[in-house]
Amino acid sequence: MSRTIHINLLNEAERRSAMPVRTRVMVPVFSSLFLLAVLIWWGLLAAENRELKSRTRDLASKLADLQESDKAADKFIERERAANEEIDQIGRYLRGRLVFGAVLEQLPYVVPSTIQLTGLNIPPPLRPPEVKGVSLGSGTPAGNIPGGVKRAVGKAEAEKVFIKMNGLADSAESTDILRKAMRSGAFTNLVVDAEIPKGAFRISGADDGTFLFEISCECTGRRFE
Amino acid sequence: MNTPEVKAKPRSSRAPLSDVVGIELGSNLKEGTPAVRLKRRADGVIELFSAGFLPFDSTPPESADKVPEGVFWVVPRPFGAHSAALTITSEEALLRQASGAEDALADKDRSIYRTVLRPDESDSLSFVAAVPEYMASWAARLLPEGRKPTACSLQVSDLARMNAFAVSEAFMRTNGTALLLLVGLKSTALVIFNEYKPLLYRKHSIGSEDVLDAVSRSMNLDRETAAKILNDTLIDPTSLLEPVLSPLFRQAELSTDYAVRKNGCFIEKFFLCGLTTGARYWAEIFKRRTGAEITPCNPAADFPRAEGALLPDDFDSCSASFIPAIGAAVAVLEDA
Repeated sequence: MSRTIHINLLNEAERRSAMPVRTRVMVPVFSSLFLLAVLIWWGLLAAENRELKSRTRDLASKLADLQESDKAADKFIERERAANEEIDQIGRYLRGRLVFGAVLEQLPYVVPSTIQLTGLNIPPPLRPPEVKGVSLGSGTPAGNIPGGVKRAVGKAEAEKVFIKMNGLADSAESTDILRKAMRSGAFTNLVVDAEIPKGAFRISGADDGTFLFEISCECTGRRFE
Repeated sequence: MNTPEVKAKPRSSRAPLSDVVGIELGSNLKEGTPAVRLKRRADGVIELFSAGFLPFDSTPPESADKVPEGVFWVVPRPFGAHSAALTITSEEALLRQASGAEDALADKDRSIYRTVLRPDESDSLSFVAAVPEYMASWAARLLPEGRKPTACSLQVSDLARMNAFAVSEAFMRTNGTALLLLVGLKSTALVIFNEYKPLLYRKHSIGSEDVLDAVSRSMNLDRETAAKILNDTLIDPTSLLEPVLSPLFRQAELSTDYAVRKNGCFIEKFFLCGLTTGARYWAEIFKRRTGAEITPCNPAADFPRAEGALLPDDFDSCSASFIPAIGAAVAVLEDA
């Protein structure tokens, strides 16, 4: 319990702070500074946002241009690839080509006079059976060429090419001379084997003592490499 | 200007204070302005930390147009508490036992006075304190903002003196019923306490200067010599003082009877406070007139002191000068 009586004649408005920093001055000052700082920060953010938006627009515009160029470049690349494939395919055809002309020009010099050739046929090459791991379809050079024939490439077994010779002979020895001749001399680079299939040497029906024969010459294999 | 009457707050709404400097304005002492610094210890005891005379002229302005402008005090470091309790000693600073300003002041005074009413409690007196508005504004501006101390309270010195007595050891040793004569220069306040609370407050226009004037005039002496006569025993001035003091003591006698009749409280203890000269003769005449012993009392002399308190060298002889300052500071600390 207070023993004293305190009657204070000082008005509340007359009471002052002993603090060197006046609260009623510093509070508005700091508030204003804080507000100013927030405004500056907001202004910087707005400017940065504007800049980012502008850069985004520029990048989007450039990206659209680049996408068009990219499509054009893709088309060129695709065309180049297709052209290269065609060139490769042509190269493979060139490398796989068997030249018969120059070799067959030597044929009159090896055919015995007792033999009359009645036919010379080069049937379409025998295509080897498909081997696992060797594609003959899409991805092969021929497969990419519209209308092209699918050809085995790479390690695939070579296509077998044969020269079928038919004619009349006076004897089996003449026929065998021709068969052997086809495996020698100018034909060694083209013909790897020559044989008379079973039943392919028989008497002709003309009753003049002549025989019909057939010689099958196996040529070097054709590879598309 | 009509200043509204303000009711005193029962307790301060601010943070409790534990360090307050009390300053008496208008003390009219040649040493300076009395100031004390009081601190409340952790155990609640209030101690005197420093006391001294500030080198400032604290004479209150006589009128509103004589208020000096731009006068600020820079208080020395030993008195640099956060808050200051100012008390004004002036003929214009009033304390009245009244239930309202209309009872305490004339109509013309109410318009120029700042008044505060201490609300009437069931078991205590209601007081009206008042000072002229210009004087209160002048006092409030003396201590500048941003420097320690700043004013937190402005009180009239009669109440400050009464508060200093209310916390004194001499009063605490009584049973709470006592009569107190607070002697001022030109007036004396009479207070009767019952159960440590004021029961009656009256002010009479007889003060220590009237006594001094009587001796000086009768013996044709200057004031300083008259004061010396009152302090020694070479000359007995009782016959000179009695005509001056008899009316005052008669009023004390009547007030005592009033208190006995009204409240049935029998007053055993009488205290005389505020005198710097001639207290012995005041006591003799009082005993002769009323038959009761009156004890000179100096609340400042026996006020608890902090260890190493900074006090003037002659504090024991001049301690009475610090009573209003102590009372003002104590009131703030006890109100916190």
